[in-house]
Amino acid sequence: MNDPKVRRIAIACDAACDIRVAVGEAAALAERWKASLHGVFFEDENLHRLAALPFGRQMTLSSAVSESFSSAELEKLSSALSASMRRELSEVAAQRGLEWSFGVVRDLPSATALAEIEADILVVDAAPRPFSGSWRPHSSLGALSEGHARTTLIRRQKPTKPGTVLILLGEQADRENALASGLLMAGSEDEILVLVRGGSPEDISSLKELAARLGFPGKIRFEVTTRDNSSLVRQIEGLKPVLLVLDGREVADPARRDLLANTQCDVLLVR
Amino acid sequence: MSVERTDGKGEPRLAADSVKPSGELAVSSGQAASVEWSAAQPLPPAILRRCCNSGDLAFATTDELPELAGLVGQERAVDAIQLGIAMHRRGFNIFAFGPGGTGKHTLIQDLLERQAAAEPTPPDWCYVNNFADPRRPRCLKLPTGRAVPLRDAMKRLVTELRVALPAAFEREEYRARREVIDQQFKHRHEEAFGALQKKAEEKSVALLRTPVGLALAPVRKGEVIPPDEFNKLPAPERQRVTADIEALQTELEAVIRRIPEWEREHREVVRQLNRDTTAVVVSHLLQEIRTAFADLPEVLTHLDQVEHDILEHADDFMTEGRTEGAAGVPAAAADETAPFRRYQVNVLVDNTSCKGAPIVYEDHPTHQNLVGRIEHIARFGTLMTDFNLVVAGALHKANGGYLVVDARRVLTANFGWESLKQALRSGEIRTVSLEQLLSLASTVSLDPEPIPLDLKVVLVGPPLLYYLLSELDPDFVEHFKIAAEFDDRIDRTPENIGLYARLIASAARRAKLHPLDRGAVARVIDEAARMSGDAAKLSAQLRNLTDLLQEADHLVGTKGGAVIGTAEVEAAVSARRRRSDRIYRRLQEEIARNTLRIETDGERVGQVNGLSVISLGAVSFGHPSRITARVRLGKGEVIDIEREVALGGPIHSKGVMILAGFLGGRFGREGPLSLTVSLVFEQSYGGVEGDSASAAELFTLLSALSETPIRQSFAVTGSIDQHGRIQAIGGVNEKIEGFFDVCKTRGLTGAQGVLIPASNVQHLMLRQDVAEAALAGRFRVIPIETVDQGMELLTGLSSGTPDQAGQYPESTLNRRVAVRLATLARRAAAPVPSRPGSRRRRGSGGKQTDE
Repeated sequence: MNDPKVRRIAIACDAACDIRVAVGEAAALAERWKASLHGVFFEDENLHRLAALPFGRQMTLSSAVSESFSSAELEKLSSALSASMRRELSEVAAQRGLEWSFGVVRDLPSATALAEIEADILVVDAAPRPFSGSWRPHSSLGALSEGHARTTLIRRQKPTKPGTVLILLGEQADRENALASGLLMAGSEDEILVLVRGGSPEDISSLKELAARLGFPGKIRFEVTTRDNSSLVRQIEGLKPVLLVLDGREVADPARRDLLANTQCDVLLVR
Repeated sequence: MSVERTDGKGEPRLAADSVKPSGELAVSSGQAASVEWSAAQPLPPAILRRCCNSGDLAFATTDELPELAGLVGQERAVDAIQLGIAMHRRGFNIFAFGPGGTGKHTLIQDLLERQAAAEPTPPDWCYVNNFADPRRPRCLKLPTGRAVPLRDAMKRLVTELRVALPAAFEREEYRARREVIDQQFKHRHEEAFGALQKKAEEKSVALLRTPVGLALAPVRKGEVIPPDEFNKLPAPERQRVTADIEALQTELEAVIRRIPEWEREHREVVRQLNRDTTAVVVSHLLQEIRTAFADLPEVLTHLDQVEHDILEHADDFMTEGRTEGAAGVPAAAADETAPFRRYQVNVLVDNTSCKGAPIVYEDHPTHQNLVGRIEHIARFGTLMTDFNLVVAGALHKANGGYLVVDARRVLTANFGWESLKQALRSGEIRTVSLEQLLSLASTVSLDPEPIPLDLKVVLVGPPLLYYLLSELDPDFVEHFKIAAEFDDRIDRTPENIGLYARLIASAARRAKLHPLDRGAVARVIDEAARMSGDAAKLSAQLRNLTDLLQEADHLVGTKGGAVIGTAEVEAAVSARRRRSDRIYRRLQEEIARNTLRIETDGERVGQVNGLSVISLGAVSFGHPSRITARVRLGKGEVIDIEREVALGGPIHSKGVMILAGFLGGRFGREGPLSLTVSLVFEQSYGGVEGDSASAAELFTLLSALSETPIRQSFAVTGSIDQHGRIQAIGGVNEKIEGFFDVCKTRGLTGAQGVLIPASNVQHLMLRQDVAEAALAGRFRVIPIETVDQGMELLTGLSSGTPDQAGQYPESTLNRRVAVRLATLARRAAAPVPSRPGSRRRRGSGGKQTDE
């Protein structure tokens, strides 16, 4: 996201998402940046395949008994959910005065599934509705969004109060882009902490100059942090950030993937 | 006959205090004197107006007189009320009745206040929430003055809980324990699903989230196997996959079936944690209240229930802020609807400031004002209520003391009477809305626990209501066993005069008036006698007395005086009379202009001046009327024209019929009365009632029969019996004054006067100017005992006494009557001469010509 100007935000939901919350959050960001909003309902091809199998069945919490799961039924449910998302999008956009559009993508959850979506930021809701109590099955959307070519915000928790926005800068990262994106995402009441892996005091000075240049009015702290991945995970858990900002290119690094898997906060992958 | 003419000050006043039945007048001026009078003779002036002798009053002004506790001459009522107050038995409530203005309320208030001050102050009453059944609030009886502290303590408790409980739940200790519990149950889910997921992965099966549930699907390289590929698999492989999936589904079913149980268990563990956390805070805060009310087991029981409820509903204190915010209602309204209202205490009756037993006067005794009401508050378009909105009625406030109610108002107020009786019958106060009482509303409402009732009800009303209720309402005598009857007048004895003076002094003090000198007091006593309509009585209608004093005081105030004197009282009396005599003056004026024809001199056959009293509200005045009679041949009828045209009342008609009885008895022993007499009140345009004109009607009848003229300088009042005796009538003073004013306008001649029944002499309390005219010999009031005495005075002829053969002497009035009747009888008996072509006259009485 070299150009800090955000003109279009896309929000992607699947059948497991809490659509109302996800759309509402994306619309708030779009209003903040005066961007248009594009909704995408993702239909998992795996479910269609299952529904076509002779033994395709599903179990609901209300009945606790396996029921038939046919293609026809899946079509009806998917259609209802996508219509619900479209309606939600139109209502929220009307309330906030946003331009909006909507589409449906049916594919296997692969890295290229959402590649065609044009957006400055793709918001992916990776916090599925709880199935029972606080247990949630894994989100397939969260995984596929890691391969997206543009900046992606992965929502993994309920909207929270202002807190710490953690910007993690590696040696390979496009520091300026990540810092600018992090500052762009932070709210006026958020506190910003920039962790620089293996950095030096000179790095910190230059980053401070950079932040000053970007003109962020709030408070920013800069710290040098460890290169050790497990130590870094523990540090991040201790800080309990509301948002973790990473350079998307570093996600290819297995250590970074491990970092993503072990933190619970929202993540902004900057590209 | 001697006349006492002094009032002790040498003023030309007429003084007398009582008239003996024998005709002797006793004067209490210290100078023993007596006045004798005889029937058919003008009354001595002293008897016409018996004034109180101010010289007998041993004080200069009323400031010297001690306060009079209670009333004068109401011993019967006082005894009854005292008995009613002393009787602590069911049904011994009091009905105090008597004419208006007799001081019923004042006396009752005095007696009740004296008694109530010596009685213990009753307990306080509260309503609290019934946690088992909120529709039926519980009542709490607390010692006097303990209700408000309990209410305040509970209010403080809620206030502190609203702060302390959220703080306890925000504490790190609680959050950590809660986190442990949540994680523990989360892990239980994750372990169960994780184990299943792992097992599925081992068999190349994935657990997928469908739009509404979970599903199991065979996978290859992370993707579900497409159906066409699956169908290409060897049969054994397909069977294996199918079997694996079925087995996993069975396990998944088992896990899902356990989820509700885990969640319930989770909620219970969290609830127990909340309960433990809350208990620490609540028990500490409640301990202070428990200590303060340790002597009241009912309160302690309630506090236990409060504690239990708070433990069960601790979440209310957590969500309170959110509820109010979401509601978007003003803070005060939100507070009113907050869930912790159920811990408040509704103080229904607080007797903290009450000294002794309460005395409550309920001016508007409707059902709701007596038994209390259940109010409602509007919330989001719905009317809500709870025990806090139960409002006390007069019965609650008077419980343990006295309730004073106006009988007329309680009978006319909405269901006031029925509700009062119901409460007295059941011995408890049940607060129920009128809609519920009448079964007009079927909405859910409150049914507060009834409160035991222990009070004395005093009803105050007119006698008529007492008699009607006794006759028509069988419950009445059951609940009001004590009848306290107030008299409207008292005996004018020397002792009572002294007490009356003290009564006047007390009334003046209570009304913060100037003191009265003894002359003024004497004049007020005279007026009291006049108000009673009886010289031997004094009016007990204190309201009129107080009004008179206030008017006199106003006059003193305008003059800048310090003491109310005789002149002010006299002026006040005159002013009152003047204010209300417009119609009287109009009638007098019409008489003076001869529009209404009343003759006061000369003589007329078959015409006499009768006297009547016109009552308009509180005002009564005398009015002379010309009564005439015409006689003709007939069948012995006395025709009352008033009755014929339906203007005569039954008593008046009865009086006229008595005339026929008298005539028949005296003159019809030997033969039939062959006459028809018509009697009429001339220029009478309204109804006539009463028999006080029967004597006058007889006089005019006899005059017409005997063709003897009657002196028009007299007016007559009195009723007669069939033997010709004159009987007492009412309003004698007003009647005399009414004729006096007519004569005065035309000029008093000394020949004018009024004939009154001798038995009315004791009632005479005429105006000062009438008495003065009599003293000057310009007007006469003559008592008569028989018809004959009256006729002699009116005609100047002797009535005559019959000899042994029943014949009256020549030239006597009765002889003339007898002769005339005999003539009429002969004519009636004679055959009617037939004339050719003439038509037979109607009736059998022969000649119908007017005699």
